[in-house]
Amino acid sequence: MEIIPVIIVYLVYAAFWVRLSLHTTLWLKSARRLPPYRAASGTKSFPAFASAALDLFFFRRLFATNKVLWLGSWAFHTAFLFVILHHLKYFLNPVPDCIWHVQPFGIAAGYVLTFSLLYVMLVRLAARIKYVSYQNYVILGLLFLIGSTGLLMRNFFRPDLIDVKNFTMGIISFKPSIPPGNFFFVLHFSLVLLLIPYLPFHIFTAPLIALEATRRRQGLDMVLHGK
Amino acid sequence: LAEDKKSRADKIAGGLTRRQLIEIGACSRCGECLLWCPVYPHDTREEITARGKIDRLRRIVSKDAVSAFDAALSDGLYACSACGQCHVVCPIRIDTPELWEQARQALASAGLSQPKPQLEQLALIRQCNNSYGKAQNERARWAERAWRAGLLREPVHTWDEQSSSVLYFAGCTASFDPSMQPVAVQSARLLQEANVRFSILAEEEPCCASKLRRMGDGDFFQEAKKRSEMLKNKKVRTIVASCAGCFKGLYADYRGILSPDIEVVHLTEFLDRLILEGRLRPRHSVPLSVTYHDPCHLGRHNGIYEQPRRVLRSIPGLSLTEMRRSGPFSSCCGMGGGLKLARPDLQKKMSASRIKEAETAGAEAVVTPCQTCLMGLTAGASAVSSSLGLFHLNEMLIRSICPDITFETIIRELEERNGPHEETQS
Repeated sequence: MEIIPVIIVYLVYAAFWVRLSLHTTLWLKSARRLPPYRAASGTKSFPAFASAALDLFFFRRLFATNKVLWLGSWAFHTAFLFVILHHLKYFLNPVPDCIWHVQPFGIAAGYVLTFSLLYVMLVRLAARIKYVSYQNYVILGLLFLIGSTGLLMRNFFRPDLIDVKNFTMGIISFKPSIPPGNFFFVLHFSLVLLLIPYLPFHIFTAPLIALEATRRRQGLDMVLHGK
Repeated sequence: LAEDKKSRADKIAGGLTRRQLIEIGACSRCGECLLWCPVYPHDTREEITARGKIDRLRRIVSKDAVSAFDAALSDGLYACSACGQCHVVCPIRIDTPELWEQARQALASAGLSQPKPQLEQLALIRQCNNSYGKAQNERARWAERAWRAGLLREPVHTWDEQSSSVLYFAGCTASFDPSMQPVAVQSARLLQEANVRFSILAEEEPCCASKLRRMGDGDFFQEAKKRSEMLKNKKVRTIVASCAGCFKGLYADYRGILSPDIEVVHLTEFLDRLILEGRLRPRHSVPLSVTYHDPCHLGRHNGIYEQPRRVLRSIPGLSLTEMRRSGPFSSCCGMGGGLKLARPDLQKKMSASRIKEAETAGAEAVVTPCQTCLMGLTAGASAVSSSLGLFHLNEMLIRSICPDITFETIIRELEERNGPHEETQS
């Protein structure tokens, strides 16, 4: 029976890579390129790169159009990044110094992530036009449950961290061990497994698009494609 | 059937660019596009929105779509004016107008052709080299008649008679549509007032073919190459286009095709330059409170926001107020992207909304430098029985510089010289 969760973990892992490769092979279906864009006169590379960075790290476009939503969205994405960095300590041995330094931010990010999701959900529900799609509900709900179970473990139902580390290291080294016997850990981990195959793909591709779009708008050919 | 679906999916995927295939996977389905889409308030189906179209396109190219998705995508793609508002508000900046045009082309190559009225328009352009189905030798009649009517300071020369520093590109609408010929006449007169030496291609002026691109016709690039070659052979240096659609075609769609030695500017930019240089001086007062409607092809698509506003501000007596949505957030009047042909009902509702917005801004009139927007807004104004004045930007300058040739005067004068015997329908 103990093997079943391990099989599920590897199936999810495989599903993630299958999905990633399907997307990538989809990109390869076309070799078509748009004609080169006219370079904007007087464009300097640094301001254009700075503009791309602002789009990417500050969500400038969303800030310009919807400041209320921006607050939640930016807080969520930034917190998500720190939460991932925080969790890397369970998957690396030895844990690099930089990951140790990020730990306090990661803990704070856990709270920000969970409450920003609530905020985003409320903003969207309160919008004049109802524009939440069912996919939004599924992803937002799933992420909120993951965040909540993480916070519950952090504050009330702490699992044995040695067991957690042994379990996660066992998975990535293909020497699986028994999951820790903490209900909230099992729930948290299962929800993450559920999320992985549905992980919104924009987190991988959106940065490319943001950089590419700025390159084109500014007539800059060096942000992504060195010439 | 499964094989057909696979082959269709592959054709559509192959018809998009690699960047666009990445883009359709990058949509986060946040729905910002839906909040700003000018079509959505009038047709609230999900496939109308950029999010819905991208979702269906992604499903089709990933082959997990049923054929109903083809129809829904097709429906959504053609109920869209490709105004680019969704691009402006997209947090990850998916280049939607380019995507819709390329998707239309990809769908057509996979056997899902354009709506019938669009196909008829495309056939007309191919057959007659203009979108009005007229004989090409009628193209420059506006110039001859305007000169004979005393509306111009001197005759307009053809390029072969006298090549100049500037080629004035009037476009099909201002050349053939009697209600919009004043745009060409006023443009020519304004250039003459500023002592700009210019010529026209007359019957050699081709349709810019940008409508082929807008409606997803795969021949666009080939046609653009032919026209670029012709312009290069004529040793054209600067093209001034008074039509926003032609400007977008020549400036943006011909990129990489048109010789980089040829400068393409919209008339508004050119007039702005002439005013800044002091060559064109608005002097008579035009006591009117106006609001400016940004054409998508100039504003969102090519970043021309400030120049037309500067031209309007240079006119004594004229006051400019902005609508609630202006600049990059300006609501589309629905005349772009072939929407008027595919869904005239939607176009009318969109322009009516824009007219109501202009009324709310408290202006006496709406001014736009695009004759197509002007036609669209006129339809909207009549739909809501609005008493707002609707003017081309040229008209405002003309009233301030040479008020003897207003739009109405030109229409009347040209009509008098436009006997039925002169019309030659091809």
